[in-house]
Amino acid sequence: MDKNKNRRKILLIDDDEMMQIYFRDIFWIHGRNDFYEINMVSSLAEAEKIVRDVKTRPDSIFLDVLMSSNKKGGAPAYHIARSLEFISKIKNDKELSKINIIIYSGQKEQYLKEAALELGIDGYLIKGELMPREIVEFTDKIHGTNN
Amino acid sequence: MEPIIKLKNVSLWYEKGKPIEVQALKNITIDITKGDYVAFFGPSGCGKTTMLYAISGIDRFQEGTVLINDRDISMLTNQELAIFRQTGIGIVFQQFNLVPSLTVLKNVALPMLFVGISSEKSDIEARKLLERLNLTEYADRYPFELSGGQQQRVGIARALANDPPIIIADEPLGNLDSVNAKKVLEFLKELNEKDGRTIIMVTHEAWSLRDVKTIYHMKDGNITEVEHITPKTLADSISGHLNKQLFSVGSEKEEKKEEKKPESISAHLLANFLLRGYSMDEINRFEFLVNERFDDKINSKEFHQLINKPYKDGGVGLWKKKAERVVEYLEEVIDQRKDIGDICRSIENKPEVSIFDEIQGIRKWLLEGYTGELSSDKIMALDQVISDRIRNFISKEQVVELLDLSTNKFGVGLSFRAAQTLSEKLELILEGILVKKENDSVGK
Repeated sequence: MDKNKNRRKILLIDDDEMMQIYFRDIFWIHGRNDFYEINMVSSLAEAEKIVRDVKTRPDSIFLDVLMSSNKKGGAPAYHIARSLEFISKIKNDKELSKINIIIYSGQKEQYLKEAALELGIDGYLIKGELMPREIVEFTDKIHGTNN
Repeated sequence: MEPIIKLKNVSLWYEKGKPIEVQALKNITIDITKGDYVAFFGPSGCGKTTMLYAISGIDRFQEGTVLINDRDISMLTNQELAIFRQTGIGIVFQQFNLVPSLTVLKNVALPMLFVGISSEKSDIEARKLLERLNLTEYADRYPFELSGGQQQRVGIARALANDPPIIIADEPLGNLDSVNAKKVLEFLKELNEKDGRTIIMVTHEAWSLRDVKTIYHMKDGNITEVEHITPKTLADSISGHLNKQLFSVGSEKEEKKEEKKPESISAHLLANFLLRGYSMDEINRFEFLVNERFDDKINSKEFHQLINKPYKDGGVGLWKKKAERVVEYLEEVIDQRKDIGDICRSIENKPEVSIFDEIQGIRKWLLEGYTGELSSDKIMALDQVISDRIRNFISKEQVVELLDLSTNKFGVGLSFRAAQTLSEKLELILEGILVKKENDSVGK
């Protein structure tokens, strides 16, 4: 793939700073900087702006459905519902529906996985259950960029 | 193929701007290709280990750039550096550096926990690595229950924990016999050829170069020669280096002597012993300062000031109380080493000489801080173990065994943990100055 020009855009939505660095750097460490351009935001509102803008629109979104700051505020179900609503909005928008959405979260509940799959997500990854290289390989697979 | 690591005009000084300033790397420029198997080869003090530390972001260099996959690691924040060290590189140490209080399985799983991998997943992955290194049956053992060769294999499994693309091996064969050294070389070759990982090894022994593809010869902080090895030239190259080592004259002979300098081995043990739980860069800095103190280049007061200073100002950043205790301990070790040197010389001259008083002194020092009660039988058995070790009748591994063995089996009857701690402490003052055995310079 041509350097920089055809890099796939990935958007990580997660408010954990260490997780943001970890996610971005494992692609660098495994030599994928020429394949992916990784953008990171801490909220759905910021993500929506990036998704709506054609210039910044990602090829794939990795989303934490319940971010750490939301856990403190109580009512996790409300925040999860908002995340599902965000997914639904994208998947039901003709212009945006091609964007891959992967849930990348600590939430393991089966009902949540089923609900998200019904909305058309492209993957459900649980934090802490994948080795760094497995995340890179999963991403390569959905973008057809296998080395 | 694309370089995975690029060094551009890298210069690194220790204690820059101070009277004890040392320039360890001088304007180094090299490219290391992805999938290469590289060795930095040269005598002690040539800068080869510093090179590893610069590449792994452990030592900060003052000039130049180190690019990993085109990214300048000197620009990384501490958090980014931590992730790079945990997932980008796996380090295999000469001294193994396993955590003694964790089982083999947990030692291998530990680096995964550091990057947020769950305990269940890290145990599964650690077991896979142990299987690969033929260590499955030792998963629930503690490091001190394993031989040196097994411990080094655990060290390799741990280096592979987060599946890093780069493996760094710092004199990985230094503490192994030839059979185990051969096994380790086989694994490194497999990691290179089968997994496609980039391997960087530091060595001063020619025979360990047998599988490497590129040799960087180093001297005085410079790269003096680069050899790209093809199978044809490999045999010539190794035999050439071996001949050089076997028949070295003049300055090279001096350097070989320095390589085996007992103080630096002891400094390494001491650094790992006293700073257990500290980061690699802190331990490394501490080891350097201990060596300076052993060589009497700095006095006790200067040593104290340096270890107390913040890391960014060239110190180790130890807390005041800890620094005081460390200085006290180090001075005791220096004194004890001098005494041991005297004892060994007198035994060499007159093997039957009684060293009863000296043994008592060493025993008292060893037991400082030991909270258990020891009966007179146990004390006698302990004195015997110390005496046998000083006379080099038994190896350090046998010391641990005897200290742990119950008194009715003629051991000292200590707990495993106490036995290991006392043995480590004893080795600090014995390392390199033991009485020589006939046909065998060091114990087992």
